[in-house]
Amino acid sequence: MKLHGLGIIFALIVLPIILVMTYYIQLQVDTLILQKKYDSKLLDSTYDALSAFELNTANEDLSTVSDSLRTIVEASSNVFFTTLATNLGMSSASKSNIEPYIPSLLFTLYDGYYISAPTQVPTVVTDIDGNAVAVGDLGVKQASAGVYTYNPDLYADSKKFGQTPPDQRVGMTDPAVDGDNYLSSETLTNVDEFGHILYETNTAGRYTANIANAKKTTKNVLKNYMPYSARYQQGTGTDFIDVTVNYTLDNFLNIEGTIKGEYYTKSGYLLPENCINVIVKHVDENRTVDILKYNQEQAQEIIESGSYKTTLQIKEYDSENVLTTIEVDRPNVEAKENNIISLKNKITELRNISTADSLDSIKATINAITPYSGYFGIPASIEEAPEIIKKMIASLNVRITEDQYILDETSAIVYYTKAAIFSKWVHTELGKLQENSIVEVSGQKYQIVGNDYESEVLLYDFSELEDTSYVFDLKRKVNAVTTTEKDENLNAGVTEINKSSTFYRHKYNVIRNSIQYNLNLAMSTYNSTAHVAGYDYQMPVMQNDEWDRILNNVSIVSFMQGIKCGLKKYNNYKVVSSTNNEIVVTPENIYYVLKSSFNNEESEYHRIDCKKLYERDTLADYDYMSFSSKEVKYDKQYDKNRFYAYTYDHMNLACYDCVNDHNNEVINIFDPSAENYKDAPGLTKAYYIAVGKERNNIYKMNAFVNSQGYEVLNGNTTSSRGLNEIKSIEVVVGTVKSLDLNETILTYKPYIKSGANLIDITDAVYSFPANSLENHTLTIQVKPDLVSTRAVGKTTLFFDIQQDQSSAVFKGSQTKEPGAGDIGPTYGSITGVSDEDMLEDAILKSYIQGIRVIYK
Amino acid sequence: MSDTLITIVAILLAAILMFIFPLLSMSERGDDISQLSVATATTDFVDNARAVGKITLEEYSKLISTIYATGNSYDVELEVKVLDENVGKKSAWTEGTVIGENVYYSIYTSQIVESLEKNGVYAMKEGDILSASVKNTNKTMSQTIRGVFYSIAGSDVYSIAAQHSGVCTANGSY
Repeated sequence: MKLHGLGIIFALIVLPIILVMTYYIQLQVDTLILQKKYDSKLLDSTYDALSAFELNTANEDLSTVSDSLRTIVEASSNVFFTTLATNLGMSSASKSNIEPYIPSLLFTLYDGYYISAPTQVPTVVTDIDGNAVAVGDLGVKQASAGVYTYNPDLYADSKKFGQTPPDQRVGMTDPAVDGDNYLSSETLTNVDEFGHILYETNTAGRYTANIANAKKTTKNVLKNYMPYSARYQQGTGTDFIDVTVNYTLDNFLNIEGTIKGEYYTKSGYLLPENCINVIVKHVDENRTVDILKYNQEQAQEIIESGSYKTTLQIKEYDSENVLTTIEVDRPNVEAKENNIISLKNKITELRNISTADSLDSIKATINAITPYSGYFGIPASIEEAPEIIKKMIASLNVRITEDQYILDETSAIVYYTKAAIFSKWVHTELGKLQENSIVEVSGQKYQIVGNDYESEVLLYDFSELEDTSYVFDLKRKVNAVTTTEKDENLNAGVTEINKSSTFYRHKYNVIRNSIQYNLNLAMSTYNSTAHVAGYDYQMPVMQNDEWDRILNNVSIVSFMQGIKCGLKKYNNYKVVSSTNNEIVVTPENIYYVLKSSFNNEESEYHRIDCKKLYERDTLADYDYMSFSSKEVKYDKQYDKNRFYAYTYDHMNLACYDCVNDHNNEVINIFDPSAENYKDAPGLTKAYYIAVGKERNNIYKMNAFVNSQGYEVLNGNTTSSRGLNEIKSIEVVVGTVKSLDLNETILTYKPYIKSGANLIDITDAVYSFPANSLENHTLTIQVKPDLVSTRAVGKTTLFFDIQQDQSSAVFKGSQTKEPGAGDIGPTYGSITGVSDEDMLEDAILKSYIQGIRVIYK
Repeated sequence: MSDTLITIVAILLAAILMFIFPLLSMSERGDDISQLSVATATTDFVDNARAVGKITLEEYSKLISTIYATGNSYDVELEVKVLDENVGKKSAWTEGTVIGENVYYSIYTSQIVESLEKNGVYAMKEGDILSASVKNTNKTMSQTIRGVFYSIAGSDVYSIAAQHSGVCTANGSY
């Protein structure tokens, strides 16, 4: 063969191969590049959705209330679709084209999560006003059995007729008065369908009232809120425990259920054992109160009442050494709060002074601000006003800061005290709750992973854990496996829950199991109805570090699947976590500023580990104000007509060494092995105040109003716990007859009998109407500081009637109600109590319908 | 004589057609594939970093090893535009005509890499902008072969380049 022959053969064979290869590789390149573009767009859209969420929570006072939160989540989901549609080059109006490719959006919030997923919904027929049309409405006619027609013009005509003034209705008739325009129930074949809502069908112009025949469209629906909860059942007989624990992203818990026969509803923050001391002293009466024995709500009342001096000591881990002390002396919380509001109003008045105002009106406003009239001068010209306003605002801010600091300290003390009371209860009552006693996760039955492939395979098998692995074990794991775990031990204060502890891991696994299960379910349900042909929606496996981010703060996870992407179908997800929201406060997102220069635009705010802050703190004992990062992010207001067009509530500047650029040398004040440990006492105190008050001030939407337990006592049974653990006693009394009908009110003072003595259990007396036909409940508030362990019951209660000349109970020798059996004391004599009093008590007790003991 | 000349020309043409052209074509495909992996690695690197709010030494090393695995040498340029949160507060904005007070200052590759070597992490905050740009610095085979036939003037001629940037979505920490 000649050379050119070879050349031709070569050209015929090799060149097409090269061309095809080139084309194919180019397609692959384009696919991957497109995929990366989609990745970025998905991330950006998710970030936008989260920004919308943050903005809405920051600007909405009720953002933590569940209904409000739901609308915020819905709005955020809308923002996601709008941004994604715009990013993908569509108009936001055509975002419905994108929706089928988003099998779910996950919003993980403080104590639960929402899944937004496309769901098939029937198309409801609506009139021009958007009202749903029902069988029997104007214009609805029956075409055949169960099939209807609808003429919307009749409704429009009737509406037009109604809106036209009577004198202009010439030639018009109201279709609504014509009986022929209605479907009567007599002529209806499926009589049951009368009044049912009408749906569109797949045939144009034909409608149905049967939802099964309705035309379905895909709509993104926010599913029900799922709590991060787990139910545990452990023990048998009197030791039986059946509790549901609702976890949150931080250490707040809701616990509800039966513990050894008593029903408890408790909410509170969990602290590691033995990390704080609280000393509460009544200043005037010079007595101390053992506050940790009180109920959480009672303790808060005492601390905030303004009569007590409270000292809180935070102790070093595993030792009695005090790390820091927070002290408040008689803080009158309500008065201080009111004072701050009034001072803030004055600042608002000053800020609202506009450049358009006349000099006289500016002078008048400044003069009206007491007690500063004239103190900083009265402006002689409009140009002088800004300087004077600025000085006045600064001075008012100083006064606010002083009050706010005391409020912050009080709030922190309340947080730690309540948390200590709650934690003590958890450790005593549920300290031995085993991880493997879990029976439900988020209301769904927890199934064990086994050989049975039909059972639901869950990520984490709790059943295989040792019996000694306890849910509420908060101890640091000394032999932490990874260095990260060890480091995490040292990056937060002693009151924080350790990430290497059993509790943290358990909570993590419960939440992760719950989300994974429900997300999987949402996606596979969608898969069975999805419109994207030839594509299987599946839940991707998320990585551990992504779960860590999801479980540390409010996050949004978006999944995009099935959209055409070059040679393949796109499938990816993006996680974005929030740092600035109203719902969760993480200690690392709290900023600190010297109290003396708070809200002063010449000083800086810092992170806790800032070296600049640390170095200054080692010089003197400073106090600090703190605020969370969201407060600086969303506090800017702009109004071009004011003297200061931009106003900030937090005027301090961000530090360039920590807040703006967090890559400079950091100081860890929590690491006991570090040389600077304990060198900055001011900062240590500031940290504990900040974390405490931020958490205490967050509104917990699902918290129980009263953290308490109860036991119902039947007959002559007595309570299983003593007086020292009892918060109040509810006694239901039936009709107590009085011989003298003028005696309408009966008043008693209750005691508890202990041997031959009476224990004074309450300061108050309790009244109820005599001869009433209704039952009355006496809620006896037991003194919170009782130490007696005496049980409560019908036999140990003693009611001392307060009226000397009462005829409510039968006097003297009269020992029985006419026609009834003998009524006599059911127990022996009591020192200092006459037989008559004993009898009166016994008579009252014969009318007791029931007793419920409320535990602290 | 003329036959010999035509034969030589034919041999030359055949050599170009049968050897050099396929070689050029294959090496260009090789560059395409390198381009693909570089672009993927760069986008991944930037998107990961801005999602978690920090650049880690591990991620950075992964980027470097992925791109160098293509057999070329590269110049990696990173830039973080740090959002200055103070601009609005520092000046007394007494006029209402100021628009967009966001101001950024930039941190470049050498500073970022220094921080990575020292701390293992370069932390960013929400609102910062991260961009990465990667270009090859050697001459790839396709560039060399192409250079035989024609040359493009200029010193920074590259055939593999990728860049990506985006806004950081979270506050990073150590």
